[in-house]
Amino acid sequence: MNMLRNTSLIPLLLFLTACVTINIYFPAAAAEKAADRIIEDVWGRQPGTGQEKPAAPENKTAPQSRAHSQTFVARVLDFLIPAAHAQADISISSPAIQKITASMQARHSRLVPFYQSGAIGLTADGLITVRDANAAPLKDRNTVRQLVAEENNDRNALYREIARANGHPEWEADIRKTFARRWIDKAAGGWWYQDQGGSWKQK
Amino acid sequence: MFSRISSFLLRLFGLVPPLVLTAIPATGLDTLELALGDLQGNGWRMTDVQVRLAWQDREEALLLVAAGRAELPPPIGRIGGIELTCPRARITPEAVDCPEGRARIESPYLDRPEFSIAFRYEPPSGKAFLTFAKLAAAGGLLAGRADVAADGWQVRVEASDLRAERAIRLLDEGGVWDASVEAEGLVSGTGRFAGHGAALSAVELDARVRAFSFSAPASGAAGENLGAEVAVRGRRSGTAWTLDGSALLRQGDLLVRDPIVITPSAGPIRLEAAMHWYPDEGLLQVARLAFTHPQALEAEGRLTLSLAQGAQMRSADFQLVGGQLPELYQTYLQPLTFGTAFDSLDTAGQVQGALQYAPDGAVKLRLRLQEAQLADRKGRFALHHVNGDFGWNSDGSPVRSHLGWASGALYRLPLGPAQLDLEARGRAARLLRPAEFMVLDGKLLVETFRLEDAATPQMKWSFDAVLSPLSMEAFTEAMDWPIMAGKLSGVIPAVSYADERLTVDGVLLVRVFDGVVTVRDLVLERPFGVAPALAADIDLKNLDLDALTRTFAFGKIEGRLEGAIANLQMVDWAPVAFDAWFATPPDDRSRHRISQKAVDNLTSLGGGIGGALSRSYLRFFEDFSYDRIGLSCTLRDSVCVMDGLAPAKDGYYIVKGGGLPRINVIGYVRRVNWDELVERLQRVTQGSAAVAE
Repeated sequence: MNMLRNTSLIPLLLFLTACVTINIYFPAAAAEKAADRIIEDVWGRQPGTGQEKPAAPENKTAPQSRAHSQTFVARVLDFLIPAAHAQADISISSPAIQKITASMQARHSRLVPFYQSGAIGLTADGLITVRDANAAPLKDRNTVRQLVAEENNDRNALYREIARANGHPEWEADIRKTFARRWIDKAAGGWWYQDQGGSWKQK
Repeated sequence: MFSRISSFLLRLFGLVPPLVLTAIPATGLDTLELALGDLQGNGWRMTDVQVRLAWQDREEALLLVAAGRAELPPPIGRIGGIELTCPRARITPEAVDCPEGRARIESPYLDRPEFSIAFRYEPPSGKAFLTFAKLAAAGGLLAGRADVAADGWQVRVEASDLRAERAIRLLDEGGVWDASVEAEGLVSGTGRFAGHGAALSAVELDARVRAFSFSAPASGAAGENLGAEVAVRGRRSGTAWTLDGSALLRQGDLLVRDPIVITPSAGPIRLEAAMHWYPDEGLLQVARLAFTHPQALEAEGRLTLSLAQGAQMRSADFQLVGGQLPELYQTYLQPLTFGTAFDSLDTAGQVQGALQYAPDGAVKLRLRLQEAQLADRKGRFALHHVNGDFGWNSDGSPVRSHLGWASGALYRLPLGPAQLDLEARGRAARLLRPAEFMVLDGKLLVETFRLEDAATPQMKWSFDAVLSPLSMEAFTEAMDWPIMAGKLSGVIPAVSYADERLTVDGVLLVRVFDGVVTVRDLVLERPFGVAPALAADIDLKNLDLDALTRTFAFGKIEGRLEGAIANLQMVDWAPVAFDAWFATPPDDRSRHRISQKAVDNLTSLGGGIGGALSRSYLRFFEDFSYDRIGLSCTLRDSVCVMDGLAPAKDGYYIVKGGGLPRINVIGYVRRVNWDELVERLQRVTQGSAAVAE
């Protein structure tokens, strides 16, 4: 009898293990919060940007990544084991992330004039690029180019390290997408960014 | 354009004979007025032409010519009213002479409608000349002279301080300018053109620009605040032209081709070319091209361009006679390396080379580096007294290269002399024979090295090597670690690098302190990038504690030690996480002694009070026998959670004594801040005097 009760637990155990597996979807909302904290560290609080606005777009985008993984079973399990979700968080406290963030923060003040002049812009894949070289004086152009290359090295490293620090290297692309969106949302007025179609727009 | 202008000039002078013929028989008349109506020729047209002659005396007359509108050959185009006044015109059968004329042309191109003009025409010989001066256009002044004779014509135009932005607008409207090219600044110069009939046979151009900026998006060239001089001498023989040109850049920034910007910081930059141009074949042969950028680069060469469909290189052969670092690197190389590990170097030395471009498009490049210094400004690597010959063929055929240096450094590790024989094949390169790198007093023998997809984002390289013994003392000193005795040697199996990740496949084996350290699963992310991240699992077997502690001011311990540093993670070369333990191997039969100082130091690491021992009677013993030593540290979030051999009352055993006098070292502190622990370790290993009573 005892034996029977124990064996009957096995499927349930499997089920529970399985549900944990199912629920490791990309925590979009947490990732946005993490991105916002890093962006604030790097850019500082910028007047007149999206910082003070209610984070409305977050709710809009979060379900998008859930939609794929959230089957009926998963939703039932969500209900049964809410803790698994509540704990889904994105940690950005690893020393590598802090180093990279500090490196970007130190560079930012040198990039600002070029964001403002439109020489550089934010790309749809979470990087920056030389948008209009003519907007920078010739003598500064290679400085811009070098700053852009260094910034992109840092950003690529940042996305990879966040994914790794959270034990999911496969999240790198999702983290990149999240950041791409948040950089653009939080960009100051006058800065240029690339929309999903690749065309340039000004905030 | 020239042929049209010359034909226009000839026809204009051709107007005069009928005038003269009508005027001469009418001597005695005071005034002659003619309404000629519309006149036109090849490419030009004037409407409502009127001529008025009023004799002042027998010799001189007032000549007035007026036209309502005119359409002239480009670049002048359509202009408004024309008035020509010659107060002292002389009209004889031999010559029509207007020495001090004034002209007035209503044209949007002119800043002022009036300018001075003079001409003379000799009907018998057909010789004529026309001069104009003080023609205000494009913000500056133009003057010129045209001479026409039976054996040819000459035109000379002088421009002073034209505003480039206005001049190109005029040229653009005239249809002789590429509208995408923008320019501003001051242009002065002289142009001389000579020809016969419709054919141009010689050109001399001397132009100077000041505060001149331009951008030509099609070619990718641009300039800012340029001060430059350009001279061209050309002569036609048959259908071919011989041209000599020179350009001198005295000031400003010139974007030659993205991303290379040249600026004459050490004297004018000069380009000279001797060319043959075959317009019929669409061919430009540059027999000699010399480029001098003071303190950066001196190059000569020749090339052939096909002009049939845009300018296309047919063949080229360049010699880099004198390339000087650092200017050569800063201007010509650094912009191509942004984002790589080579984008911020301090350089010095000489570079020579050759570049050949064959008609089939194949490129051959040879470079020679002489006594070069290459040092990363971020301190990641440096090479001194670098000498080498590099070769590369674009067709992928193999070329041997040689590279050597006298000394260098990789991060903190000094490198001795090395000589490499390499073979480059397209985007790949490999080591032809094993290369030895002197590292401190040891030797790193690199047996194979392969580079693939060089200069692409997919670049990868791999090598394997053997490290022959180098002294740990030198190594630890170089790394600024606590000084340790012993020898470091090992096999470094396949090391590969791709996608900014360095991976060691297999086990890295290091023989040190008479034992073996094995490193598994070593991965280094961004070895030269931001915050390099290292991950590895390390096992230590049978280390000799005596050797380890001999020059280590920690205090002498005899015996053997084993242990592991599992899940090691380092960021920026500082450990951020690991699970480490060290202990006396259970089957160790060696002599186990621990010095008083080591006991004190272990005590203080475990949270006890250092020096306690020396205050007791035990101070009379120099060392003690022990049974086992053991200590572990699990590092997470800057906190080291410590443990020992076995639980003790309120703590854990770090040292369990054996024999008499028996001493046990017991640790009480479980959680220690990692930075504090490191600081404490440094204190006890460096300043032994501070610990002793």
